[in-house]
Amino acid sequence: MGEVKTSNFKKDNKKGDVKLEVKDISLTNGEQLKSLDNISFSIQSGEILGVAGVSGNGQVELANVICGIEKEFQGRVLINSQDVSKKGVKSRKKLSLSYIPENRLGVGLAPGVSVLDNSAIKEYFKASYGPHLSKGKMVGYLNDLIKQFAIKAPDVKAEISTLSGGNMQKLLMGRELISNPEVIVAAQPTRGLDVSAVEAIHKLIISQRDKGSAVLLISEDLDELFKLSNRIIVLYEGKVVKEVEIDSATIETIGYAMAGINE
Amino acid sequence: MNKYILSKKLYRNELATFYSFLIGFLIAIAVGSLILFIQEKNPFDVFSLMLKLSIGSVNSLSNSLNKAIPLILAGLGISIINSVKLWNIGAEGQIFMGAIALNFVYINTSINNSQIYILLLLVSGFLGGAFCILFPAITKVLFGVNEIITTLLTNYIVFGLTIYLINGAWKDPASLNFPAAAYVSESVYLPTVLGKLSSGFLICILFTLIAYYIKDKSVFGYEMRIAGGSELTAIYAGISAKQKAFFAMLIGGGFAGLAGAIELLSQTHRVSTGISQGFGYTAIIVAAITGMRPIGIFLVGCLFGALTIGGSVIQTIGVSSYIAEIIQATTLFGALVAQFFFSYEILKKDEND
Amino acid sequence: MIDVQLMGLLNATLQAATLLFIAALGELITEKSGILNLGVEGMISVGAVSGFITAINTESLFLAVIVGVLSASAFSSIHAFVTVVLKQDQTVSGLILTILGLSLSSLIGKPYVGKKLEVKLESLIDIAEPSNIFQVLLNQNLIFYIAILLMIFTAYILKKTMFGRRIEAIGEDLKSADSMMIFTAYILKKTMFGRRIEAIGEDLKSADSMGLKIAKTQFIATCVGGAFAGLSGVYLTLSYVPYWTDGMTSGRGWIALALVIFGGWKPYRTAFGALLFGFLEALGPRLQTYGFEMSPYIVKITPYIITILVLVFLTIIKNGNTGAPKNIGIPFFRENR
Repeated sequence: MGEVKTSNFKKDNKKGDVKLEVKDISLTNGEQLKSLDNISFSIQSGEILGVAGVSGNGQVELANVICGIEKEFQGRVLINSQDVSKKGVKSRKKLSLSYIPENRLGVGLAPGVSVLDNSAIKEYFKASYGPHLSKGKMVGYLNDLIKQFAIKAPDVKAEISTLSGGNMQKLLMGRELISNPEVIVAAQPTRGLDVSAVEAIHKLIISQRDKGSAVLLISEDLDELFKLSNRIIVLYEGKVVKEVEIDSATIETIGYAMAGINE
Repeated sequence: MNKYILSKKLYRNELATFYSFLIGFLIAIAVGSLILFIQEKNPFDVFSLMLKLSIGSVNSLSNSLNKAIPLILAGLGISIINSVKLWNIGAEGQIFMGAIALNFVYINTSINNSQIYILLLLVSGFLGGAFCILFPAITKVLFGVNEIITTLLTNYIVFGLTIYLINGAWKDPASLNFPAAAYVSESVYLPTVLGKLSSGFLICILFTLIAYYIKDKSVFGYEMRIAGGSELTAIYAGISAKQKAFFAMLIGGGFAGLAGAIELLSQTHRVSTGISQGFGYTAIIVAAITGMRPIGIFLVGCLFGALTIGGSVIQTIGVSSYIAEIIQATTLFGALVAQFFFSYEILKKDEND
Repeated sequence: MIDVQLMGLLNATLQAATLLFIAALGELITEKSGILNLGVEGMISVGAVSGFITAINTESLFLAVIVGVLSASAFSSIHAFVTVVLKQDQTVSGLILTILGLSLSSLIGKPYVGKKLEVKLESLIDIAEPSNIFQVLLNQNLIFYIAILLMIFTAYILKKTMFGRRIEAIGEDLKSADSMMIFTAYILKKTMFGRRIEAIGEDLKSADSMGLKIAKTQFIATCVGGAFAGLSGVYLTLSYVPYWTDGMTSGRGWIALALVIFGGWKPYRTAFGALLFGFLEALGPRLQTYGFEMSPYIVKITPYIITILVLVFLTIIKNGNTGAPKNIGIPFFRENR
């Protein structure tokens, strides 16, 4: 307890320009409660910013604001120094933002829909000529995903939930990451997965970071955060209550902050 | 310790829907035979007579295919709307509204060129159907009002409107005991091809291909599928589920309205209660049996058209025409039951898994 | 001096309301357990025709009611089987049963069209022109009072008894989903695949019993809903309109469905809604006597228009939260992780 788990993942630290910046983000929900309270941080290219915190302290709302799903907020979101606060989801994605939502089957992937259709959610307009959708291109695209991310999907026309949890997550992440996005928001990416799948997902995240992406990693799993992040912030009741470099972070201090205890 | 778990099959047989349909049809024939036995009629005789008088001659085949037109068109509309996982129970009303819209335009306009006039009238029918579903569409998309009930109740309203019109403003004085609107002029009758087959059937083929394209090959169809899967995913993907749902409903309603227009211009030649005899409801069955596949809807629609014709002619030997309806409904029913066995399997699960 | 005509209106209102209410109450029970039964219209029809035929052939009203109720219930058990055990789509199943129910009853009822009933459900006290509320109430027949009893009974059961609370819990609680599948496996093992009967361990039994409860409850709730619809149908052909014709249900089953939503899945509120709609139905033919000049055809469709408007209005103000049981329409599936 209190040990900082280092791993060779963090040794390469090629940080660059600021890719994602949020300034003074505040969000009030229906009952006049602030679900996000004056949040500001930035992530540089080649950096993983871990967001620790117990579920329900603003993580989902933060992700939604950054990705454009939630538009009624105060503050600004900047991607590559461009203010995208008023822009919709599609435009932010076109600006090289990828979002891996914590609700795998339900948000990231559409239930009741085939594997093939789900694989094209991010870039289907690339497989289309005007109103026409080329299935051939979709299949080719999916095969690229399968090869690159080692996804086990025997029947691409089958419904998405026939895939195992790990494969669904690999499909989701592969779909979002294959275009080498500059900004990645990943929420609870390894929840409910088995050991080998977790390992594979971690490798994915690291390799993206090494390619220069700025990663916002939201997770309840402290081990995961410590293993992958360069910096960690803690969300408590919608506020950033702690911000530390990984080298100076301990599980204790993070844990206390998550519980809202000020040292 | 072994557990038995019911789980969804990983690989669903591609032809599962088709096999289910066949099984369902066989079950339906069996049930129909049973009913006939009870009524002391020989099923074999009855069915062969039905066959003979529905597809046994060019004449009867034409009748059957003509009967299939509204089933197919309305069924296609229902399948398009189902892409966003919504149900159109209002096809029956939309068919009537299509006829009403056509008549309205007909009464208030006059165009010399027959072909253009017919085209205009058909378009009016399509728009009439879309108009009919407009209220359910808006309330569903804006407020989430249950579209099953709104489309359904609209049927009764439109039917009432039809009765009102043919007994009032549009009443044909010549139609004494069986009130109906005045006949439209022969110049706008839909021409027939190959004898008695209405050219409406050709329109049917065209629209089947259109529906197939929309659902299977277009970007719009893809976006509808995603929206139908989960509205959250659609938002996440930047697709406006509400927009897709709205247009899907309007288009679907239009298909049904077109069916009504074709019925008027090719069969009844006027607005009357005979524009539709439950086609809108049977179309739901047709669409559901085929798993909402346009090509399948076309084929099953033709089959059901034949069944309906067969059903009406066997009244001459004292068998109720409802036999046909019962067979149709039971087919879907049997198919539902059969689909269970294609979709699920019993797996042994080890306790220590 | 209370207007006799007003009393006549009240009389008709109560009768129309009873008809709608019983069917709606049944559907309320079914939906509370999480099953959507769109086949109500068909079930009312089945109950109506079988009750009528029994009455004609046996001259026993009692038997007619029993047969009507049981046949509709049996018919609804088909829906229960397909949706609870086979877990197929509830919308499709319900719709087929409506069509099947209507065509079957037309088929069976054909030889009985136009026949007159010798016996008719009598009012408690027959009063030709009731002139005050008490007389109106007394003029209702037995089924009206049964309806009131059912309403109180249902409200009590849903809130106060274990069975009722279990129904509600199933409608709301998704965690029980897992056990449902084990139940189905259990049933299939015992009945269809007898050869595969193996010893069931203790752990399985407890999960089983929970799953068993869910399925059993849903099944029963659906059949009860069907029984109520049958009773409504019997009321239709033995009292309200004492004969049989095709399509005499006139979409009342669908109005009953809308009534359930209108009543927010609460028995007393549903009764209020039924009274409202019954009033509309009774008002129609009487409008002219009150000086409203409207085409009878338009008047006939006002109940449907009002129903839609009320439904829309309710949905809007409730912001989509109409109070529907959360699990309605969803067959129990174990989410794949």
